[in-house]
Amino acid sequence: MRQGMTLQNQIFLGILIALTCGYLLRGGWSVYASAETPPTPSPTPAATQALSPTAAPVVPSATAAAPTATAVLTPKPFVTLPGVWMARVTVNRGAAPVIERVTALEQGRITAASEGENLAEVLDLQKQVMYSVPFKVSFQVGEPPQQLEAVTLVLMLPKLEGEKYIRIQTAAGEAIYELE
Amino acid sequence: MNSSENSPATPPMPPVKPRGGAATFWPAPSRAGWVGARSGAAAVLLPNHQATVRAWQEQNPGMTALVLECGGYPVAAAAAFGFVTRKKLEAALSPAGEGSETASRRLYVPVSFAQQLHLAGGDDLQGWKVALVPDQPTALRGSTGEPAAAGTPNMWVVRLAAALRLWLGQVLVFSVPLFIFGWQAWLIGILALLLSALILAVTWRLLPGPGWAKGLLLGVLAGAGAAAALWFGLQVEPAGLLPAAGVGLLFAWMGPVLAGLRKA
Repeated sequence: MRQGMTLQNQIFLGILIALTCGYLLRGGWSVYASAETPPTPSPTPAATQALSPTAAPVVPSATAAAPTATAVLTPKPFVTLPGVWMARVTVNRGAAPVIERVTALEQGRITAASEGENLAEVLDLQKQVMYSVPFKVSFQVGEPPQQLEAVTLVLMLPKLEGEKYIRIQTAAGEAIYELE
Repeated sequence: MNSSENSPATPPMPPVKPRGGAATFWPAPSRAGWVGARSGAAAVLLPNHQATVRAWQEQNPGMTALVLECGGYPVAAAAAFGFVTRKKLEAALSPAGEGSETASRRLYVPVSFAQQLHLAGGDDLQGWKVALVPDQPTALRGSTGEPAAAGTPNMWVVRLAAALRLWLGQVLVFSVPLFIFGWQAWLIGILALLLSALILAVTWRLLPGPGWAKGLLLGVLAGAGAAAALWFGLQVEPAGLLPAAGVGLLFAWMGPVLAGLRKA
């Protein structure tokens, strides 16, 4: 029985196997790396600057305009993250907001809003801002316009390492929810 | 082996042409069969290693050689990997054993081959009287054919040296395709090939079956081990087990590589 392959066949087959193994090794590596990497609030540099933990928290007021950083924001419409908090929030026109319920989801879509007079934030143990995103609330609905006293929203916030609180700030006050 | 290559009626093989640099990192096989004039009363047993056959042809013109298919390895490596077998040798000798004139013929056998085949000087093998010669039978002219004084090299060292040489050849082939997928894939791939080559070199005579079967067995074991480490150690998701398949494939690949090459 003749043993072995010819040199040409061995090199050709070796290249095919190398490509297959490279694909398998990188595929697994990327799966592992994605599981280890904390979620990024927004993919674009401008959005990262506006939404990153280092961004200065913006305190809204009734007369203030939208945060300055959001003026240069050119975010993607959304980003899908492996872990998010779903916060059900009631925003009152004349009183502080109320965080009614916070639910952990295995996966969720974060919409990187570019402007708004209110803020949803994720805080660490020292109540330093880790993530901040503005959002709008309109108390006028219908035609003719009717004024509402409260509006209930569902906000999606990313899960971050070291997070402890969720804070909602509006012109009328703020609410803090301690995460479990 | 094709028996027609061993037939006495087969014309002598032309001299082996020198091969290029590929012989540095790969086995260099030549055609198996009878080489040189067939009229002599003596023949030397050689592996189908190009450099060995060529050197023998240059220094022993007019003598006969029986070239056995040994994956293109030199004498010591072919013996260390167990590529020369009694069955293979007897099958190659049998066509030439016909006729009464073969009774006095002498077969010069390198000592490593003799050790592998359990042959001693003076043994009779299908009408051929065995005489031992050094593993480099390039200067056979003038030899008495008595048992050679030279000892046999350590088979483990020979296999490890051959495995490292062939691993370097595979590094040349695998580097660019693996690097396409990142330096991590390159590093893991090269190290897996090295580890596989070393393990196979050490366990070659212990593992059953031909080279590809040894590689397959090692590949399955290595792949299963890597999968277990990923699953229980890093607790990855099922999709994260893909590298284990890659590692298994790399380990398996060195089996057929170490089994040598055959002439195109």
